[in-house]
Amino acid sequence: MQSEDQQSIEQVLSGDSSAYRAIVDRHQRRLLGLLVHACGDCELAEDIAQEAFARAYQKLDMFNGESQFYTWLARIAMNLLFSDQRRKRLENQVSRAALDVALDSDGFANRRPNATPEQQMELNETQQCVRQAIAMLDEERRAVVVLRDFDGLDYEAIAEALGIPVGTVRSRLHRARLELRSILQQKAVQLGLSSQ
Amino acid sequence: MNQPENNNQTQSSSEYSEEWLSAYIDDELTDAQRAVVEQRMASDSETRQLLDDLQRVRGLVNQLPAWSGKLISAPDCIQESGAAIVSTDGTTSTTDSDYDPAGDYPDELNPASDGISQNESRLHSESIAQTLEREGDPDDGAQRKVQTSLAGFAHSGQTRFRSWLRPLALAACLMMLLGGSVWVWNSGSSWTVATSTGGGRELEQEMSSADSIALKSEVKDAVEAKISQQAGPPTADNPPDRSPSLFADDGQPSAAGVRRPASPAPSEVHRDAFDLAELPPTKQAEDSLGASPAQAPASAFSANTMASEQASNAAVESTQESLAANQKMMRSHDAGQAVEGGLGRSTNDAPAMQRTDKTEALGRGSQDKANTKVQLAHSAGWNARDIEAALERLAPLLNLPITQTESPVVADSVAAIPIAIVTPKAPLSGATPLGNRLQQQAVPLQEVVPPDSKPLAWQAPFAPSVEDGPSTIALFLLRDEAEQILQAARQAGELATQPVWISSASGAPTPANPKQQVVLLFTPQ
Repeated sequence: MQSEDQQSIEQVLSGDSSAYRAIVDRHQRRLLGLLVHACGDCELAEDIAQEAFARAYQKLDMFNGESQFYTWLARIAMNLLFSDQRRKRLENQVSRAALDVALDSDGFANRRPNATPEQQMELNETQQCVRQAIAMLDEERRAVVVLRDFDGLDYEAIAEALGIPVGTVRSRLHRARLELRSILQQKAVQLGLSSQ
Repeated sequence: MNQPENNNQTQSSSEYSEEWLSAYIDDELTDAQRAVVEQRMASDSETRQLLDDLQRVRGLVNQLPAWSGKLISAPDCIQESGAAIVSTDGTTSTTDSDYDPAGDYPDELNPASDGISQNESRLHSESIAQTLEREGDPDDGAQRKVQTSLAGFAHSGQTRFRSWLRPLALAACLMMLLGGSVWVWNSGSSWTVATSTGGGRELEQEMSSADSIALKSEVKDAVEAKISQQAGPPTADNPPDRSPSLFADDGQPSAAGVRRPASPAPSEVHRDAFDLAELPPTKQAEDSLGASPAQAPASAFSANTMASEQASNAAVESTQESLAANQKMMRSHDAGQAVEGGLGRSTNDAPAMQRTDKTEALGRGSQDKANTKVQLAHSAGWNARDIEAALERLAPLLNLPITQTESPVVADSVAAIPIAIVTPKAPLSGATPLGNRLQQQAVPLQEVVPPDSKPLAWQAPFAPSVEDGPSTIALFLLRDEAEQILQAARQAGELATQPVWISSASGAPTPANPKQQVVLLFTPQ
């Protein structure tokens, strides 16, 4: 994928802007999933993804190819998200409760083949609890845990995407998982977690 | 929960840390560290239990379903980029060699910013192209071409500049580019800037009066000829499309699937569209015709807009920079024209309407049209979905780059007033001069509309009220665009009332002048 990205980027930089469509198609689903879980708001995630792709296009000549394009893109997106969240905090527009409310399953393919209705319902409830738990994390921990456990980036890529040291990624991720465990336990969800 | 986080990457491999458990399950430990963890697990059941929990937590997050919802499209991204090129700081960003994707904080965090949020800004990016894409419009790709660079530029003028000074600078830039005027006003916590291409502050309105205006066939012919000219000669690839024609109405379903109820007689349509222009110019209008565009800016700033002299000076100082940025943007967009649905051209390089595709002409041949951005505001009295649905149905017929948004500025000011405002973004902005004047002089709309029209009262720009009547849309447009919208509305059966026209006298008060600023009030079904 990296070579495909690099090829597309070179095409764009050489004047073939249509090549950017391939880049968007290649990464948007992943980025949207990341953002939805990171912010708990599908519409905001779409907006930020749009903005991130736009900024990436605008600054494409600044991409030096040392990292994965997606990592670079994720960093743009996460910073846009952080900026938005911090602005909202300044305006007192966001709360954990609001995040909880904003979460829904729209946009996610959470259908499990061959699942009975009961199993599907249970799955949906579990996923909803997990999303709510993620939403209750503070933004820094949420970003790390989503980048790692949902998006699958390694620590180094997360560090690059968030502009923090790898050691911080490690500690932040661990604390995020501990907090998630605690939240999920409090929600009394039967997730097989040990009791505190 | 809020313990300080350990940033130390040089931990000794022999000093166990609980954090290693997470790193262990992520395979992010060195061999030595792994050995320590495994040794610990072998001897400590709590550690094993914690590791199991961490793995389950990770698994739960990892098993969240992938995104399968709405996707975004590349052309819109590129268009968005076009806006950002000049809007982030007024400089051309493509030469920014120090770009850091993390460098977007300051303006966002600046409490002194203009109050227009990034998210709100992004709301403006909901383009008609996306609407058409959803609706499966056959002209999908071409439609996007009307989203030109300057559309983004105009868009950015109200939403992306973070300080109140920046929109002022942008407006000044547009003003100089277009020879128009600048209006600035404050609406609560937000500043709004708009420009007029008409070139005169002294916009005067004339009222349509169905009884006083006679149908003139030469006017009809002239307009049809102009529309035909714009659409180009019919070809196999470009069959005659009568949808934008003011007089097309065959009572049959349109290609876009929009129902066409029985429509008014051509004479009625014609009268509605041009009755104002048929009136002789009023004395005020004649006076205003003599107003020089160059005279407009200074007088255009109303007292209550709080556009201080200092701000004006700053705006002028930044004009050159903005101009340079704009030119850069134009060049960038020219380079991006290969993109399907990509970026258009400035008007400077497209003086004529010679084309085979009317959408293409809209995008490349008319800066004004290309810059048309429509804000949609609604209040509690409005059913937003209905408005959007109506405009979406109209959109395929319009070939105008309408963007529906809920402008925070507008929405704030029309709260609880059952009226929607659909206004083009700068630099069209026939709305602002008229609205500004109405605000300044507190002219109730009853005085400027025919007696048989709906009883409307204007209180401020973007703050009309309806005393007793149905919801009404006010379209602030250039005449040719208004004509298309009106015609499309008729064909789609969207009009519940006869439209009311208010034309400005900033342009030549003739129906043949497609760039005459007008305000169209109508009530959708």
